[in-house]
Amino acid sequence: MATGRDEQRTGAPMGPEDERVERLLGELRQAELPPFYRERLLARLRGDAAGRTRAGLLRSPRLAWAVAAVAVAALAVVLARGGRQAPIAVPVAPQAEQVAVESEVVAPRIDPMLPQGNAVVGGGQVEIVAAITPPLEGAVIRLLVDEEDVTGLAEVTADYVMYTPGERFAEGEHVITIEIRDRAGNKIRDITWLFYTVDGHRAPDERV
Amino acid sequence: MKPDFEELVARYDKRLVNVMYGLTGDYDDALDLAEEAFVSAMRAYDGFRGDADPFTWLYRIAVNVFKKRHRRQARRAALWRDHAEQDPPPSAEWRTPALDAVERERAAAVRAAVAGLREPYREAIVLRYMSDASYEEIAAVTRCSVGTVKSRIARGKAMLGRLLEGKV
Repeated sequence: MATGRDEQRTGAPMGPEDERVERLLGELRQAELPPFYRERLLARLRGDAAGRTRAGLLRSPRLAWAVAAVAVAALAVVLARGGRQAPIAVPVAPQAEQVAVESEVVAPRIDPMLPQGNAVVGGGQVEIVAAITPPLEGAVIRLLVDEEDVTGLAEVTADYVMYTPGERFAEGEHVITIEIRDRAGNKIRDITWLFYTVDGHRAPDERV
Repeated sequence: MKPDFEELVARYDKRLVNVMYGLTGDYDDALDLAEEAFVSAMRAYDGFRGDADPFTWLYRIAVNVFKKRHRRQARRAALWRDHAEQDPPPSAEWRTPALDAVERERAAAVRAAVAGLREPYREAIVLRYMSDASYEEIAAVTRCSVGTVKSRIARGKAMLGRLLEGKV
């Protein structure tokens, strides 16, 4: 008498054909996940969550009102000071070389978001994202991947750097560097981090 | 209490991949689909109240992702029909644990046969044998009665028997 899984549960006897199919299905082993599948998935989920938070903030009416309120307050302070010290403002043509961003800028923080430092990802899965806080206007930002300047191919804004390489990365160690300089070329902040790529997993976008 | 989403990933990633593997018969597709399902699930997680079984909820999302992909592939296949050359299909079994050639061949035949079943039967068989779900869990996931689940499994197995006849 066969004692297959369904027979045990239902009590109904199984025929030989049922038994054979049951045995074949039982032989199927649980497929293992490929190396670093979970790590890569979690990194993607974290990157997606961070992107959504950022997009949500940019769309947030509250934030817009807060920015407007700060701008109005700042304008009021400037007008009040101007009224006391310089009643007539003389416009001066700005000279790019003389704009000293460095002295006015609080050195920002650069947070690598994707890939995270020392992360292991599939070679076709690389997306590079870093957040800059506070947002930095008027600075020169460069992105280097394995010492190659890819700034022109990246999306660079005042508060983030995002780059999706067009080609699959070779397996191994890779270095990302983000440099922030003022317009005079003075260093404001540099950051470098490493990640690793493994082969053996096809990227979803490569399947199409 | 609702678990942290990353905890959900750690708890169910392998199970979801295996269920998707059963539905598609293709390991690479299964990995992609499970990943897409987790991304969609994370976006919807705020709306998940936590009173349903998380795997049931995840599974429904994954099946929706699978159906969407299936429709897209069907459209693409129609577009490609006139083209002479197509990429060879990727190997489904190369990453499974070291099986000998006969076992591998047999497993591939069984998986292909399962993937060839009509949807309600395939779903019931996959959940039962590749995810080790109880009849009650399958009934909750597929939104039907336990009796219907048992009937689908019995009929699914009968169909598999015919599909596999002379092959394994």
